[in-house]
Amino acid sequence: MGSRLRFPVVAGLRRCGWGAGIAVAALCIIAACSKDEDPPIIPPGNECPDPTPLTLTLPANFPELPNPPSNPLTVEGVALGRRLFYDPILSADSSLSCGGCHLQAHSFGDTRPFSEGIHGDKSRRQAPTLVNPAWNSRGVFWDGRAVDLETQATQPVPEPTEMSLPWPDAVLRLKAHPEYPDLFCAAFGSKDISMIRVVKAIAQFERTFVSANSKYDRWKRGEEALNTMELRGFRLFLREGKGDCFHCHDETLLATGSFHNTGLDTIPIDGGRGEVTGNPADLGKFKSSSLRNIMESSPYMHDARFTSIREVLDHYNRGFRHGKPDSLPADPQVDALINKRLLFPPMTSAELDTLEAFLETLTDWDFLTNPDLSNPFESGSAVAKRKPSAR
Amino acid sequence: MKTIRLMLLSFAIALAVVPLGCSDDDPASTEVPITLDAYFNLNVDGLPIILNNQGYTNSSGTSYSIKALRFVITDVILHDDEGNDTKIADLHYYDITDPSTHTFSHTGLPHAEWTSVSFTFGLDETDNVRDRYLSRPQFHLDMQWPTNLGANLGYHYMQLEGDFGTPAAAYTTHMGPRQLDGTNDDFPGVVDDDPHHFHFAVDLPFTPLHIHNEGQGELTINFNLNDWYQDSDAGDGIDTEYDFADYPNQVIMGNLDAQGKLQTNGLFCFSAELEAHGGHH
Repeated sequence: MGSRLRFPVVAGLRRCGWGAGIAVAALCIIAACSKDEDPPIIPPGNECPDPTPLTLTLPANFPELPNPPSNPLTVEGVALGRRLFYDPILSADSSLSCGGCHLQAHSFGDTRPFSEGIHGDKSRRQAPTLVNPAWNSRGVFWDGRAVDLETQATQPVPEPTEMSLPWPDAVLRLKAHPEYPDLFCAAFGSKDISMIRVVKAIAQFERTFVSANSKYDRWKRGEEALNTMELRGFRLFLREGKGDCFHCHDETLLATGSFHNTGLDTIPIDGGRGEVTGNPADLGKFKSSSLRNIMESSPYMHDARFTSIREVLDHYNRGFRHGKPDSLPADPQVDALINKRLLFPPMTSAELDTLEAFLETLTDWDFLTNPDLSNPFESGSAVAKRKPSAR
Repeated sequence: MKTIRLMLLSFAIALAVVPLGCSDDDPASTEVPITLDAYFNLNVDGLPIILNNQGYTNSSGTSYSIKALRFVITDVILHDDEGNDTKIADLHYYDITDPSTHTFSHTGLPHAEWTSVSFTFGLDETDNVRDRYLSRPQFHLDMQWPTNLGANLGYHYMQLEGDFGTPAAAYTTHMGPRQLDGTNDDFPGVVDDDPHHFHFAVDLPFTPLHIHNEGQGELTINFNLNDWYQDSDAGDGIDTEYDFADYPNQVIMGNLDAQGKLQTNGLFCFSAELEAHGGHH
């Protein structure tokens, strides 16, 4: 296909030189006789400055930031997205914004097990945290049903159980607003406002949610030391015959973003990824979310069933057996990485303590309190309290 | 007058660049580079892969299922009958759950009589370096090798997972290199002065084929997963038969015996075919 598109003239000439030569000559004649193109007409009052490209500074060990060419990061786009993220104008009764359920101090998750929409409806699943969401290459939401951040942002606004505002109405509101047309002008080069541009701006803002300055990160960079407990916990985290956490929570982002059945239910109540793919093998699979800031983002799992990180660790230790004997057979639907734990002894309470100590090192207070990510409508709104160093 | 001169000049330029008559006497100047699409035919002794189905049996007679498969091949090169090589992929990462990884394409393949394809299964010493593939984010995240098995080593070669036997137990056939520093308590006190690498080179001949103009090449790489576990060269006196039960706790990532068997057996997992669609032979 590429070759055909690249060499059409050569192919034509090969068939019959004379005929093609006349055709080429004709084209040259037409070109010689044609007038210059008229310059484009810019409607009066519609001149918008070019947005300013924005390049994020990432740690050297972070993978490249996936950024679609159709929505490059710009200073103005991110600023607009930040405002839209926190503006309740995008809900029917103007009471709820994205930031109403995605709280910065909570790693952009919700403190409640299930978020509430403007009519009091509870969400089916817990609001996922938004930590390094730009790297969600396998899909957004617990089940990955949105292919990218832009697509994800199209869903909550019109959803009756969430913000309940049809997109045409949302666009009209923004167009009638005294400031938004100019903000869209700065971000996108024209005052036109559309759903596409709204979600692009929100996605740009979300791509700046980069968490990379926890104690763990500083240790990896050689700037700080882990204490003995934390180091022991990290070693268990990596050991194939113990924690083996890294296969789903890699050492860089602490989340591969792949989908796994971790044995939460003997018979999956929520089909998860399986509801999206229709593949029976995907039933009960959910996206492995990031462990960054995990100690600040309780409750846990797609259905918020665990309120403490210890409950999560207990689940992975043996809880996934749901009271069945600590022996085979393994559950055929559950990931092999989880079932494999039946082949070696469970971790002791002391070992789980060290894992917890390691997980504490993943808290990035700079991210949780970064004023650039905070609510621009509220001064001093980044209210995460920095805990004193416990160890 | 000026317009006529311009028209004549244009015509003259056109004639100057156009070959006269219709001739096919110089094929080299009329060859159109070929597009090649590569596919993987994954199977278990010819059976298609159905995930979570414990219906496969290895050469040791053990039944098993496949729940996950990810692997990487590098330096994929097509060879012709005159000894010329064309690299068609630097690195290809395959994830059975991600259809976008099941094929890859190469455009601009020159004309030649193609005879074989070669690749490295996994990554060699030069490529398997920590954080080398940050430009391939999903591969980097999925296949990162843990630092406790090599602080400077980069990636898994393969992750093949499922259940085996009765009663069913999990297996995780994860392949990769190893360089221990004494801190991994799965191998207490073991220190490797030098890294151990278990990647291997695969060279797959196929029926020679010249793909002609307006044709499209289709390369199929057949991958029989059962061959990982079979000693296909029993006559050499080295037993590389691999049964899951040989490693009771399935902790094989740094196990030199397991990795060595897989490295040897893996050579026999692959075959290839090259076909042309369209054009003429």
